[in-house]
Amino acid sequence: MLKVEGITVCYGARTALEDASLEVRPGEILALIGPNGSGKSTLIRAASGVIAPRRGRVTADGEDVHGLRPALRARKLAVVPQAVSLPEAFTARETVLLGRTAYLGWLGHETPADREAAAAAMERTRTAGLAARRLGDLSGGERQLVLVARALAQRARFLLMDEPTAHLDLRHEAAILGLARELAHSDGLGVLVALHDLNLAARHADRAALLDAGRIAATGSPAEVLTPERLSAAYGTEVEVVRHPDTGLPVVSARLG
Amino acid sequence: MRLQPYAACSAALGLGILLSVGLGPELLPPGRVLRALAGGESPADAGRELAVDRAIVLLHRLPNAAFIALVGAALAGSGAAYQGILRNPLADPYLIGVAPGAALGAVLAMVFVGPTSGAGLAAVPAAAFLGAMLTVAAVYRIARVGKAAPVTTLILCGVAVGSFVSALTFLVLLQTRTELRRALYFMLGGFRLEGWAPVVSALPYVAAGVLVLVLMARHLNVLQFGDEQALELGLDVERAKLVLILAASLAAAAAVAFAGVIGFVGLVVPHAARLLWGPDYRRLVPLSTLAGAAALLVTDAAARTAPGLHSLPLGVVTALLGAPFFLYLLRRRDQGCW
Repeated sequence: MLKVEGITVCYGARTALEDASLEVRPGEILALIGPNGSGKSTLIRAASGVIAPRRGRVTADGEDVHGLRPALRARKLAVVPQAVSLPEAFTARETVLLGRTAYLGWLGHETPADREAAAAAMERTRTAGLAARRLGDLSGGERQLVLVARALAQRARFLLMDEPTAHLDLRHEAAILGLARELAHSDGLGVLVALHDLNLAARHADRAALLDAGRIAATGSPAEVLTPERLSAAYGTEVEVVRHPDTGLPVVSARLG
Repeated sequence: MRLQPYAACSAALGLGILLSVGLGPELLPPGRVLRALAGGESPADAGRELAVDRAIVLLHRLPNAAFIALVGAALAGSGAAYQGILRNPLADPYLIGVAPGAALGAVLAMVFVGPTSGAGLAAVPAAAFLGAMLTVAAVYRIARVGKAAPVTTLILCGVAVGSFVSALTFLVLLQTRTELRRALYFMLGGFRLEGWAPVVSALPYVAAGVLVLVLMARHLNVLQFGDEQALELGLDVERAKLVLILAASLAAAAAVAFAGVIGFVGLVVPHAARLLWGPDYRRLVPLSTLAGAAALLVTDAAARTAPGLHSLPLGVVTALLGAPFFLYLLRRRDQGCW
């Protein structure tokens, strides 16, 4: 279980996150939704351990994430960052192998087992064919898949994804979130994914948490969280929610005028 | 592992050594160098010539070649590491304090200890080394907020502290008439002590520094994705950066202390290596080290023998010869030749 317990995060004088709590259970996808600047990325960064909260704590299977050495933390939590500003000259294979950093000694010697783990992660994400290509030569979607492979090479129990479908086309959107579902439901990983697109959250997440100005405004099933009242309040605009005729899932849009 | 680049660099290094030992006022072809090194069994009338050759090779050419190779290796190896740590293409071994610190130390020693005594000669490299390491330490300390020293802050602190230290250096220089030329030569990489002493003195620091960089090169790869991703991947980022900065500065400071501020090698050789052999620092650091030694040997040999370049400080010649070569590499890359 990944537990975020009452964390408050400040950037200088600005409070980005206030008393936020949530739980990510193994085997589920929890979607983190909310307007721009509501604290989604901050929550991901605090949960992954790279920024320390002013109050509260984050635990992974009972261990305080911010008290762990980076290598031990990276074996518990893997982060899929947004695929922007990556070093272009690295190949996909070299990039995925960096996912093994947490398992190497201080001198960073890679063993055949590390190369196997990286190869398996690339098979899983269907990026094996890209292995020798440079990151700079890949499309946005391919780069994002390579970063997912790198995270899988970490063999962590929890996966934190920061807007993994931003700027992606429909096919890669489906590929990334389909893979996230598979990893949660078949492999038992706990997946926390910040999503900009509410309909993707409705479609793919098991549960959703709505952030509003740094506070968790609601947590529950997508149908419970994605209500016109809650979304209108959080986004500051009239939001309407209808049911999809085939799936029954909520479909969200802003009301015109 | 592809060995071809290592073979190419080693061949270049061998060629550089042959050129460096062979070229000079007395031209020594490889055969004569080998005979001089081997000594013995020669006709009586050739005995005197052999003795002279031996003296030239063992007392002048060989220590000079060893020293130049050591300096080139230290500057290019640490330059590659600095570019990786700071993730900045303009980074070189001097960006965060080694050059201005060494210059201040050297100038202080020249002005206050005096040049003539034996102590005065040893004081310059000692003070330069100390000045370099203290300046880097100051830059790191100032850039560090809490547990982290962000690279942008490091670079800006390096530039600011460097300007301040350079101002102090010029302030000291303005008070003296007699040491201006020596100081200028130090700052242009034209400082030189004769014999094996500088090789023996600099070798432990350069060897230790470069060895650490080679062994820890994978950390540099991880750092290319940014401090935050490196941390998420499980690297103890701040500790890795500190150890890498320390090792790179140690090697560069030892080189500069005995050779003066030779520019360009530490900036351009790593870039050239990256253009030719890719971004993996596990190859880049050792290849830059070898290539840097080779490049500086060839440059030094040219500087000692080419008519127009004779008696110019080595740092000036590296830029005169290195800049056009690097521009050629850049143009070829941008024209898509590889």
